[in-house]
Amino acid sequence: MEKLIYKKDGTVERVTLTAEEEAARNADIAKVKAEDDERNAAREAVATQKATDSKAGNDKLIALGLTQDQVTAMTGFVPLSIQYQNLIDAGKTAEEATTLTGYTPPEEPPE
Amino acid sequence: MSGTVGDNTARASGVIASAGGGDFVKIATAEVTGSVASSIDIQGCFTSTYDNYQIHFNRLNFDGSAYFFPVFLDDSNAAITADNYYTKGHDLLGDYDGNSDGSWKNSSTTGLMMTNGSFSQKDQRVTSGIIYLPDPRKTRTPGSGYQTFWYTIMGGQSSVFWRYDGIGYQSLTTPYGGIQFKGNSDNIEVGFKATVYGLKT
Repeated sequence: MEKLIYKKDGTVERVTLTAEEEAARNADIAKVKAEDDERNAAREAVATQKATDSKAGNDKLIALGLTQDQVTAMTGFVPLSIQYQNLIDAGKTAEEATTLTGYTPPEEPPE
Repeated sequence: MSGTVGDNTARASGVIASAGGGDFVKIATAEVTGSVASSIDIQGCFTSTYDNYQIHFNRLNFDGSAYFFPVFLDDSNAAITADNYYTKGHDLLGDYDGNSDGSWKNSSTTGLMMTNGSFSQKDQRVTSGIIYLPDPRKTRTPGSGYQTFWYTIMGGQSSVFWRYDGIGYQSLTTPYGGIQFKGNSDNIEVGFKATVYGLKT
């Protein structure tokens, strides 16, 4: 593994990392990965809670008698099933729509 | 390491006169050629000759899933990791027909987070950007003033094209002497180029 050093006097060196430098670099990489994992977990927890709260609030408003269009107009919340259908209507395949929304429509019962 | 920069209008060479007085001068250029590099140091590029600096970089790509994570160097050319690099920014990203936006913050002693973890790993949408340093040598900043900077950057990873605009600081008064370009892991591919410009306001 090599690093490039542009020095103040205008010279340039390409230097192979010493064993100590490689160890320090690997330690930094591990430290940053731990920081990233912690940050991503916290971010995911916030997103999951927000999604849960949004759906719960949406369902309560629907139970009060509002239509989904009315609730969406007020809150901006669009149920995954409708997001999925919007993608299908826009020409996406079922697989693409599921990938983008995380929603899989229930199988229709056999006739 | 010194000289003047040819501007992008008609002159083949010369300085770019700024509206306020000083000249916008190219101080140093670094480029990865031949084979990948784990990091690139530009040492001693910040001096008391100028107060404002801009670092323009382009064609940044890593040979793995990594994000840009530079650090500044002190006057002994050691990475400054004694204090957190606090950054925050706005983002715009999405796949080819998608978009989302938001804001975020980060702190790390190991590097300066600019992309909220978005990778620079897309040959078709290589990363480029500008880092602005208002006064890294503290020629005009009060002695107790912290190191501050801001930046804009765009790039891509698999299925994502992104742009971030942000600000940052370190709670220390150590003058910056240079900068080290690196990722959080992996190596910088051939083609990366960075140029440091100085401006005396």
